[in-house]
Amino acid sequence: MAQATVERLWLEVAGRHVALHVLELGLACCGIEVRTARRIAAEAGRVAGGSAGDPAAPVGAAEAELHVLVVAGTVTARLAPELAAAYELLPAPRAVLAFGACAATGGPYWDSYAVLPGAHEVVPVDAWVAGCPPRPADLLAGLEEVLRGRP
Amino acid sequence: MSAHARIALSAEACTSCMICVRECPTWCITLDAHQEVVGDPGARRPRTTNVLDSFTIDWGLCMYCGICVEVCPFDALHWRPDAVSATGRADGLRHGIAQLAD
Amino acid sequence: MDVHEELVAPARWRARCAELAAAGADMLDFLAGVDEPGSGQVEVVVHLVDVQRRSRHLLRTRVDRSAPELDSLVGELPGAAWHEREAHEMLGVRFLGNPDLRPLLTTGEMGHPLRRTTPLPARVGVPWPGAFDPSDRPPDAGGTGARVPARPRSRPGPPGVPPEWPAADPAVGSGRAALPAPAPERGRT
Repeated sequence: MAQATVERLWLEVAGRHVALHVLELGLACCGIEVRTARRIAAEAGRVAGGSAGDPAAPVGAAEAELHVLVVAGTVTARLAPELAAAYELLPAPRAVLAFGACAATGGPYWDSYAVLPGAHEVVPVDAWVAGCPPRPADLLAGLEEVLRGRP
Repeated sequence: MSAHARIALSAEACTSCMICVRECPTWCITLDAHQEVVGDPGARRPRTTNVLDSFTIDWGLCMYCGICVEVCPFDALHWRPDAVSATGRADGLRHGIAQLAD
Repeated sequence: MDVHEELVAPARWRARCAELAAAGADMLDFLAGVDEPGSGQVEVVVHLVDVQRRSRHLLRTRVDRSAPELDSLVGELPGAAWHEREAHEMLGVRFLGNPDLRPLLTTGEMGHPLRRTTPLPARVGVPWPGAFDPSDRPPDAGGTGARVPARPRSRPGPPGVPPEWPAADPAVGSGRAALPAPAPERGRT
């Protein structure tokens, strides 16, 4: 079950307000945690609302924008071309967050005949979140880490 | 909030018995140690003890099954409720003794 | 539910399944294979369920491991198509009459992964951290002149890795061979 969704998040890191366009690639169980993270972010007022005039959005334009691909799940050999294609879809500036053990190293399936030992085999990764699966709140921490690497 | 978010090591309790390393299903624990003679003036012969040099958990491989915590005969490994931090370094998920300490 | 187990000859496989399906056991739960190098055979198992009568049928057949062939069930049970496809990919069983036995997951360089004689290259090629033992680094003689002999311990191999598996390149079978060109490393370490 692979699921791709796009969300817009507002994040504040070190006093900077950044608008993130997040493409979530839910490849396996971690995808469930990412979906939950979306709900948590929405409840915290950090997701750009579907309705007009979202009261939670920061006033004025964000100071920066970033397109982030979140790889949440096992990178199988069969899906590798799709992962590469998803990355190519992102306009610059773009970054990749590896969410969970499978995206980092292949996780428990690192030795499998059908699994690539990490998303870095296909796309350049900017930050990693540990967990099997990580808790939903760790997605926001991971996105903040991606931003910290972007001066 | 889950109380099983990360695994910590009490290095002073570790005897380098290697059981956690060998039982880990994903081979995420690496341990290095050497042996030293322990002086014991009253003993009939010298004793040898293991000295832990390095202990690393690769959080990128760990699946948080807790087998290592359960099998440690000396309770040197235990759960902690705070998660491993996100990192921007490729080797940032490999934690040594200092980062695994309480 | 009642379970009826049967051992069926390969020549009767399709006919017997057709009989049971026609009589009401037309829900295919699974079709799978089991490799038995010891007996030189592969066992194929199918589980059919009669929902109305609440009964289950577990049919087994055994085919020659060196050239495993069996009639396909897709004629009577179209749902068997992917089950047979997987059994072919994982164990090498050819299902005669199945129009599509293309692999689902693998890239073909590893042979049939669930055959018990197929090694898992990654577990053989990657050094096991548990192979180390502190007695590999015994104490020095030091200034005392007393030599403390290292007591050799028994050396277990990694669990689940039979010693007869040959050493192998861990990249084999991991799908790396089918990858597009590797992405360039970003500036971050």
